Amino acid sequence: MNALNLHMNLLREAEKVSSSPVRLRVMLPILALLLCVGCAIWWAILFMQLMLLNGQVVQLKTDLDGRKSAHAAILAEMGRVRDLQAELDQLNAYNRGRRTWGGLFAKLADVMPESVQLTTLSIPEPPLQSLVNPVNPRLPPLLGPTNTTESVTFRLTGRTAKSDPVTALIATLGEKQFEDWLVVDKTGANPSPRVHSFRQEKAQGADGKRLLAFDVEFRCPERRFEK
Amino acid sequence: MSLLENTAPTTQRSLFFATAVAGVAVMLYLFAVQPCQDSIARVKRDLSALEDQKRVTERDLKDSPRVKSMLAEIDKARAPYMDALLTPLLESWAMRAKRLLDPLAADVGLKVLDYSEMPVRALPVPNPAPVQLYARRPIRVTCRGSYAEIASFILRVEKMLPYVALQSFSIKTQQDPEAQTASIVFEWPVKGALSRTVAPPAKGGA
Repeated sequence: MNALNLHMNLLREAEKVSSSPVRLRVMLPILALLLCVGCAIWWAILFMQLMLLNGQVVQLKTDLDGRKSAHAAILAEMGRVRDLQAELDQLNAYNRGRRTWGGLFAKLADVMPESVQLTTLSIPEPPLQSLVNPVNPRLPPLLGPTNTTESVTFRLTGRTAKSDPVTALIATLGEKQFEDWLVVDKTGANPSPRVHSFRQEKAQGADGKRLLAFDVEFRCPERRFEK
Repeated sequence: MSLLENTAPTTQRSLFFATAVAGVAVMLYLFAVQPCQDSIARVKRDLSALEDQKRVTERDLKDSPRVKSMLAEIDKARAPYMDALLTPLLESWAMRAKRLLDPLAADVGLKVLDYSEMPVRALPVPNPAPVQLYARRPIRVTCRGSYAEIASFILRVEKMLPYVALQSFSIKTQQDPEAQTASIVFEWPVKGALSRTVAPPAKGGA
């Protein structure tokens, strides 16, 4: 008798069970739960870190608030130092631009030859300042001049019977004792002293000779309004 | 769907549960972890800024004695200038100059005929510019006396008023050598314009 070799599969698809020891229906929820717990722990750690940082921020803010008035005071003092230093710089610049002339006038009387009669002695006024903005004249005027120097000249006019005393006077004024006030520079483009005129006048001296009128200008060291 | 239909009900339940839990995990990440990370980054930035501020504050406070001594030094250096500044007397600069110069002229026997104000001259402005600017105020002094008296007067002014500068000078010979007329322009440092308006002190601030 041949036995009928039949293999009957009466299981439905849903009733099939995997032979694997790791069952997906068990592992998936476990993995999902682990993921969820991991996220929760991660969040908890981050939250604690945030709390700690917030605590530090609050502590720092309290600390800074406590020093706020002292810091504001020192900042105000620093600003005042900067401002007053700038004021002092400007005043020092004024002082450096100051020149004294009394010594020259006192010495001049001693070196003036008797045969020379001065008619005028002058230190001309410096030209008026223009504070118009050089970039755009419509802009507000400048607070101060842009150049820090001011040229000064010393001018003598007078009469004499002969030219020799004037030449001697000019030579004397060029000596070392006058170097603080008068510049002697015969080589530059702007020589000093400069004889503007040396001419015979119609007027006659006591001895009946015609007088010579002279006009000499010395350049002086510039006034430097610098720090 | 057919895949689910063919799976066991226990597996279906398990898949559903796993999906729900994974959803919760994603929600946790999106609505708890990530905002927390953002907050931490923001707080760290704030903390860093506050720490910088603290460092600056500590440094500034540590500098306080030095700043105070600098302020004292500058005040000391400024004091002579402040004393020398020309201030108007009865709204007249010339009146103040007269009050200062008349005694010096009298000392040398010089007769002062007139004091007149001249246009103010600005001084070069340092960088940074101070709030209070200073300028030069020229006053023309017309006087009569001998050359020696005039020279003595100038010497005396320069000695007694060390911040007064002679700006210009002119003397013309007169018939009488004892009565020369001179025009001397002296200049004083004076307070000038403000370079900018000063903000009023903050309420409650130090």
